Amino acid sequence: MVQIIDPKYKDADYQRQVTARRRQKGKRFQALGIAALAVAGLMLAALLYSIVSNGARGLMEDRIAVEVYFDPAKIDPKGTGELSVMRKFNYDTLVYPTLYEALGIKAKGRSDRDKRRKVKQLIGLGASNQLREMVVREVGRDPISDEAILVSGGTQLGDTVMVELTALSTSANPYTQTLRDLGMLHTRFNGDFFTGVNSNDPGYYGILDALVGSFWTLLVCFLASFPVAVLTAVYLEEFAPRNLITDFIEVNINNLAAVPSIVFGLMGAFVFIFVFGMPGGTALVGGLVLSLLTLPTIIVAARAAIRAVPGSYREAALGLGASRQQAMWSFVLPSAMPGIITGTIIGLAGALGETAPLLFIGMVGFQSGIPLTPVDGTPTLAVGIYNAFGSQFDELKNQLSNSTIIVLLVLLMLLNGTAAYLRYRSEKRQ
Amino acid sequence: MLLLLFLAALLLVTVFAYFAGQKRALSAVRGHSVGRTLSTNNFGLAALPSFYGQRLAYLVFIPPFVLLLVWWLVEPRLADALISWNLPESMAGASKGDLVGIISSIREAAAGKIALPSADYRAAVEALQTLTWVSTTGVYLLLSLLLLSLLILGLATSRPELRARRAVEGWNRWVMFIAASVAILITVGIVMSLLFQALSFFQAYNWFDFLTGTRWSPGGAFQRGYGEEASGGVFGVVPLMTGTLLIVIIAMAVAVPVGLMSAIYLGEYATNRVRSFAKPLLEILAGIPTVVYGLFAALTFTPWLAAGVEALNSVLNLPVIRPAVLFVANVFVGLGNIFVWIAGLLSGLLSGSETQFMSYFTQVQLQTGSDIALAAGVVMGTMIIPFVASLSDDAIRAVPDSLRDGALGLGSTRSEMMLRVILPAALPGIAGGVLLAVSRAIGETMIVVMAAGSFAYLTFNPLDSVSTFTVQINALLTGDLDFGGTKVQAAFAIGIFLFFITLALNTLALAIVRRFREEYD
Amino acid sequence: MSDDEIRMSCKGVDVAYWGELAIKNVSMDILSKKVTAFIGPSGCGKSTFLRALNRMNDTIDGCQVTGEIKLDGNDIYAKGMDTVFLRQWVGMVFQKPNPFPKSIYENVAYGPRIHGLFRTKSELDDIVEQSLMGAGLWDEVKDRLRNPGTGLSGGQQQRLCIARAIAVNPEVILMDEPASALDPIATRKIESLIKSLAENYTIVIVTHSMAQAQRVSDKTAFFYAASLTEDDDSNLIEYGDTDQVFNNPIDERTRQYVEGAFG
Repeated sequence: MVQIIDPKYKDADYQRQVTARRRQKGKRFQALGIAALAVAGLMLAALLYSIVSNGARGLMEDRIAVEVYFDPAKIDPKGTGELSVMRKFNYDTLVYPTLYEALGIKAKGRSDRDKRRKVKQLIGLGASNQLREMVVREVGRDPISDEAILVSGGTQLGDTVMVELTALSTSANPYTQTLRDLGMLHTRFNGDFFTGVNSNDPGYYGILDALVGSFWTLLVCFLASFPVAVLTAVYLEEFAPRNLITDFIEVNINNLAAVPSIVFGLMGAFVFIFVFGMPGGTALVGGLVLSLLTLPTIIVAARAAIRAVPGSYREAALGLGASRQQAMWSFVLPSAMPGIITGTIIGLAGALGETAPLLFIGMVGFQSGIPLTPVDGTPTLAVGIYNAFGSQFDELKNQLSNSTIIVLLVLLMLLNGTAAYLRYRSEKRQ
Repeated sequence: MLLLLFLAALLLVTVFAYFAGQKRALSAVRGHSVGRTLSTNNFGLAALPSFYGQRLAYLVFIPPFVLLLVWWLVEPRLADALISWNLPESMAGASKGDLVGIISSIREAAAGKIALPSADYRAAVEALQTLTWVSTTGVYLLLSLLLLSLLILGLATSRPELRARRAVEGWNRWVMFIAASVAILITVGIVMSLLFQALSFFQAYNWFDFLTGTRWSPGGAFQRGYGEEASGGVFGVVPLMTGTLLIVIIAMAVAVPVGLMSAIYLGEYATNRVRSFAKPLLEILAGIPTVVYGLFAALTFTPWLAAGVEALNSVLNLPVIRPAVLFVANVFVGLGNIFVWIAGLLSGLLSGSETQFMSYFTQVQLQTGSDIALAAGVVMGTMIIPFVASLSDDAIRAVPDSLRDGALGLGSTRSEMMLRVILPAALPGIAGGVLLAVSRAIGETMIVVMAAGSFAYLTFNPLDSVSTFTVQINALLTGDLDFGGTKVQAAFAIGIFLFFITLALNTLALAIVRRFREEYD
Repeated sequence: MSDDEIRMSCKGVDVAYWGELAIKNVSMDILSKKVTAFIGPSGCGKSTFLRALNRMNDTIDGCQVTGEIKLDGNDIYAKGMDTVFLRQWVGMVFQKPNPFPKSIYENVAYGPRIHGLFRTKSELDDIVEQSLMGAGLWDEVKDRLRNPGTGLSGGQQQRLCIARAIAVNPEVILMDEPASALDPIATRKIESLIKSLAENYTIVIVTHSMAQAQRVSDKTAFFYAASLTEDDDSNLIEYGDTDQVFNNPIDERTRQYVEGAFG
């Protein structure tokens, strides 16, 4: 018998030792895999923790209830009774005396200056506006003189009114607990967040305009990309001749899928806004830019869905005398539709979260009302997050941005969930 | 306004034409009970009635619509041309700036906003007013006329023997072809718009200095220690390259091992129960928008990391350990700095300007600023984990099962099979996937815009702040967009740089992956 | 046959995929240093049974083996049995040549490397050389050991796989239709190789070709799938000397099969 290897290596005891060592190595390798998953899981947990813990605080707001005396001697010292005079007053100063008194802080003098500053930090930017509007409101501008048209806000000078104001930075403020004990400060659900619009004042910040803007943007994106993508997919799968032009189209589609999204933003800013003169900061331009990103996604999904329709069905239709196009429009495309729609939803979900391509088309820092049409200026939800991040107020930068993220993630979950459900249903049917 | 009205009319007539075409074809054969022949169907028509309708709809819609588009593109150019033709002789020698003012005043005069500034401009203003009338009224009148005549023509030609299906399907193919060509159009649009702006930039700024310059200071010369004129910015991309490289290396150092090992574990070892929560975990990571990662990196992860470094600092405050750790860190960073140093040396030699090499050798201290390259890189790596995992999984799956059988049949353990047979076989595919991931990391914007610095320091220290291509594009384009300005043009110059880098990486990666696939098909 | 030594013995082996039987109640003894051929129509379970002999079925989801298979008196499905350990003793060669995408040398050295079967480089060189000689490939490849194994012809690749299997010096080599993907000349080479290997190793071969079974094997087992659902208590219909099975079969179905009535 030919002995290829030295018998000592086939000794059972020796081999058992070797095998045990190898198994040990295998275990270590496997442990690396678990560690990798653990790293991914930990990062996700940290991310979600950060979003939820900060975002939840943004969904609640602290309110200070305080009696405000609209002192005529301060607001309109000369007694002119003119609205334009009353408008110039810094109304937040009316709040402080009451608060100082409640907290036992001297209203004057050096000794309590730091304490007074702490109290002032509690009252947000919007408080002055809110109180002013109670006295005098601007309803429009005169087209000729460009002066504000003012009307009375209902509150008369000399009145004492109970007012609720948003309190800022309460967690770091030493007087929060005292005011809470006095019954002057309470926490409530931040309704403004869902009904208000983009604002640099955390007390009044809301996402309604961004929600509507995202809707318009996705609508434009859908209308611009879906028909083109489906027709492209049909053409490439069914009708395109095999030639250089077709190859070139395919190469281009593949490349588009890999172009960094910020480059689409550059191109969008130049082509749509500079060359074509479309209105900047609008859902129209945003949707068009995003459609450049979703186009390859939908094309790829649509081609896969069309390819998945069994060829035998197609042949049966052709055998009955249908033309290739009739077979396509009446049979193949409808059968592929669930798959195409699933891909489209996934593409739109991606577009909903995109920010980079929208940075240069005038959405950043934009402030306006709720966009009623796609050609009104508006941020999207994702751009809204970036806008909030740019704020100097901790509530906006840290908390409300994360609250917006929660809303965005819920919407993404709904969209992706719908896509998953559609896929599950069409798989089950087959 | 008239545009909307006309578009509405166009749509209405198109819908009408669809039904009228069908009716017309059917009425032509009414009473002709000829039955089916080889050239006609049951109706006595050469095609189904609906094709006659579609044909007519196409016929009335396409020509006016295309003409309208053409007019919309041509009209602004025409206005410019008309004005310059009709300018008085005396204006021929006017400076460029004066001309711009004159043209805008002519425009305003034509619109009736201001009075005629001078009799010399009467001809230009009148020509412009004629054009305005044409583009607001005349064009629509003409197009409406065309629309009606097309409708009549189409109805007249809707004879039963007309091969309407052929015509319609032929046009359908053209529409599909045009849709497919949009992809080409977009690519051309990207390249043209980037090139257009980038070329203007390189007219004002030496491309060689751009590629080899070690200083990036678009705002002018208020960067520390340099005493240059405060007007024009300094645009040298070397610090952006090193910054991008540093962050991409950090990201890959996280994403490649974690992604690859996750794919191996999920594909080879995990029980169904583990898989059922690990797969969604990766899908969630993949589905989170980048702006969310950016916010996390900037507001949560960076402070955590800074606190971690701080804690490390106090723990390491022992006589022997601290220098040892710093030594190791400096060796690592120094290796990277050699690259930076070579870049600086090259650019100094090539451009002939004086370069202070020694300033690049900053000693690593365990200190962090407000922006940490490491934080941006780690979060970016986390974002890319699922991407690497899915591409690795594809590559591993592409290795034929016969190799697994072969390895197991020889008595390999599963990890030996994986490490010694499957992974080496899948390596080209994995490498291609990693290249795709690198290309994605280079183009990633939000995380670095929010969490990396805006100052382009030339350093390889991961605890420092560095800047990247995408950060600087954003910085240059923030605020008013002045497409004639050097800053905006510089952004487009970086853009085209970025475009071609990612294009090259992707082409390379796809070529590798394709060859790898062919090997096992 | 009393002088024949029994290498593997199987008793009442069932193999099921997700509860569905692929092999029913097979009992046979595989003799040492003999070639045993498994024949039968496609889907009769002969390959499944072969894979059960070195527990390659363990890698397939939902596969369940019951009954008793012993190698030299040790139950290979016993709790403490390590498959890695087992497969050193029972090697396998597959239908499609599957050399690793490595050099010829590294292909053969793979088994000795993972099992730790050498101390020095020269020992390994010897193993590689002897294995390639044993597989009749040495003269053809000795000058290009560093070339990739995938660059060889189909027949050479299969002999490389055989060399790779014998490099760990197994007791038993299982071959799953080793020549079915090869041309007739390469097939002949493999067949004569199998015969010469039988001097040192116990060989079990699954084959589609009855002529091949007659040429190379000493014992033949006939499997038949239809009997899984019929009343037979086993789908191993007949097992005996090759001569007897082909020339004087006991079972009617065996006779029909070897005469080419179905297949």
